Amino acid sequence: MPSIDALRELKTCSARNRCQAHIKYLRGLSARTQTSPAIQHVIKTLQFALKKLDSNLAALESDPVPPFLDEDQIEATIQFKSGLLIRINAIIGLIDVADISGVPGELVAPLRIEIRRQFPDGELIIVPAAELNYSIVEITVYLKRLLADLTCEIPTDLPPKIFRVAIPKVEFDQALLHCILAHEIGHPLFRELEIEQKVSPISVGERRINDLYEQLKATVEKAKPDGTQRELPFGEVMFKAFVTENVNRIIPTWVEEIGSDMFGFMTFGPAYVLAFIYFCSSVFRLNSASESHPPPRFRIKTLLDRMEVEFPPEGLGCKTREFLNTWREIARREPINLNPLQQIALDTIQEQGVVDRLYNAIQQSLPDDKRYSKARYAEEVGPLTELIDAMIPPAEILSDKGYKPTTIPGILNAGWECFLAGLDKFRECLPEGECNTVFELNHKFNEFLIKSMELNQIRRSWDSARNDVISGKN
Amino acid sequence: MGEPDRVLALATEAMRGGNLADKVIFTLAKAAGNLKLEKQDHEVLRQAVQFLKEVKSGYDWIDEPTISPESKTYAFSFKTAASSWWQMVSSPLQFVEDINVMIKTTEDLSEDKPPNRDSLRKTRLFFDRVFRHSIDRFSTLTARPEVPELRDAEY
Repeated sequence: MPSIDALRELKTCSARNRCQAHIKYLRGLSARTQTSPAIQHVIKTLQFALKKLDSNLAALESDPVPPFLDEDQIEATIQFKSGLLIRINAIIGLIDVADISGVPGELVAPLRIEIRRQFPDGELIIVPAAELNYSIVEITVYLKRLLADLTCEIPTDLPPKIFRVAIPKVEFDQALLHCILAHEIGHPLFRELEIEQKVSPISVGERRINDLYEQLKATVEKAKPDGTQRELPFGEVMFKAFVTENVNRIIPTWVEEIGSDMFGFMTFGPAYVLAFIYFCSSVFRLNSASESHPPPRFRIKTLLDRMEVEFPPEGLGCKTREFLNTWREIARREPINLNPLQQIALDTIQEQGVVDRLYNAIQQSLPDDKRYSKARYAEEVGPLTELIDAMIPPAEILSDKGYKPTTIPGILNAGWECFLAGLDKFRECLPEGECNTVFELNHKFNEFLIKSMELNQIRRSWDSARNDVISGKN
Repeated sequence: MGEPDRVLALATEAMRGGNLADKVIFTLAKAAGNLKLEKQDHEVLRQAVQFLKEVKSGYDWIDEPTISPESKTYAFSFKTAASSWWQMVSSPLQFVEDINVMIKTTEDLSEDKPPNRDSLRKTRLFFDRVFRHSIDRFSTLTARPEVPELRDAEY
């Protein structure tokens, strides 16, 4: 018994010390100037969780040891509780670099508007990503699970949704690529609108699973020392569980990715498809699938198929049509070199009509005012490209009732049309010698679009303030 | 889903099995010590029965393979159970028999019927192994660079 007590004291004491270190660190983080008020909510909630964890550990330290638990079980119990500290640390890591010195202010407000267009009560935290990748995390989900595991109440002032969006920091100024964020916003929409439930069940087929089972089994079986009989290097049960778990993980994950692509397309229109093609073609192989993502070739094909129906070629600029036709040819080919699990996921998705099911489910679930329609594209992209060609920020558009603010997808769709058309007119407006290379021109153009998004946001805020005054709101 | 989201999701998921096992171990230890089971112990036993039934559904999934939100839960529970118990059985049939025995044991306990002592010992050992497996899985997942599945792209 004394050794149990000593072990218990040591483990809880060191875990409590580390809790205190986290509390101190969060105090320092709280003092930094942040780009979003949501960060303070996350910090406050984590401080609350840490205090609760500390008191749980203190109880483990002082409560009598249950006589029916041995030393190993006591250690495992403390270990399990102190493991929450790792989760808290992981959440701190998500917001650690979101202070004002790391994120350009001109991006924050326009992107917050986009988040609020889909989630009116959503808060946004933007962080610079060291990787060449975009990502989104709904932090509130993990905060709530953490508090549930600690058996604590959720603070009443915690915003219902806090999204942490990571943008490649070396490409903060690449406005056109930021359309990828439409896909990222698609992930929480996919869950919120329960799209997975709406496209389920998806039949994989008994024969296909059996074939996969036998194929994988043949690959991993090893010969017995005498070479006469072959056996699995682990239990048959484990192998069965491996197949079951992997198929049940890969297919739903791929379905969510394709669904998020659909959301990206339906909320941003062609701009998302064009950005996705550019984004993928530079850093990913078209046939490179992973456990979490279908091959880009297949994703591009599904997006282009949908584009053809929703945004017929005649409504697009000539150069955009050419660009899309080239990619349609490339994407038409079947992805190759997939592993057996990836192949089964792709075959199932294709044969079970999952893409159409996804599209129908999303179309029925996403309200019209949250979509970017063909009608809106036709209405605004023409006038906005004219503004861009004249180097006038496309932040507003002239209507029957005077100037009204455009939308972020509108600016970016017009931006892509101009970009694919070669930016000749835009270049003519620049002072001579300003842009000597295509890359300098592209850079200038993207900066111009970021500025347009910022002006658009200012115009919207102004309208909102004016309406508040008129309606008597403070 | 991006990498940070996946890491947190998988780590939180790993904790789910462990969280239940932690409570079940405590309750089963009380039962083994002939201590009176309280209301919350019965709730824990109900959750244990549900988990074990999910394991069985996950085991049977391969005979009628259909993907749904429920099948994901079954598959996760089956994988957790198999990873924790495969070394204790010599065949898939024995695995199923063991799970059936454990279902019967936890159901008996939840109805305040005295369980078979050997079955109770086996059930305790099973949840103990689930608990340790969950802790190890959590540690592996949070040591990110060692997990190839977490290094995927996240666009």
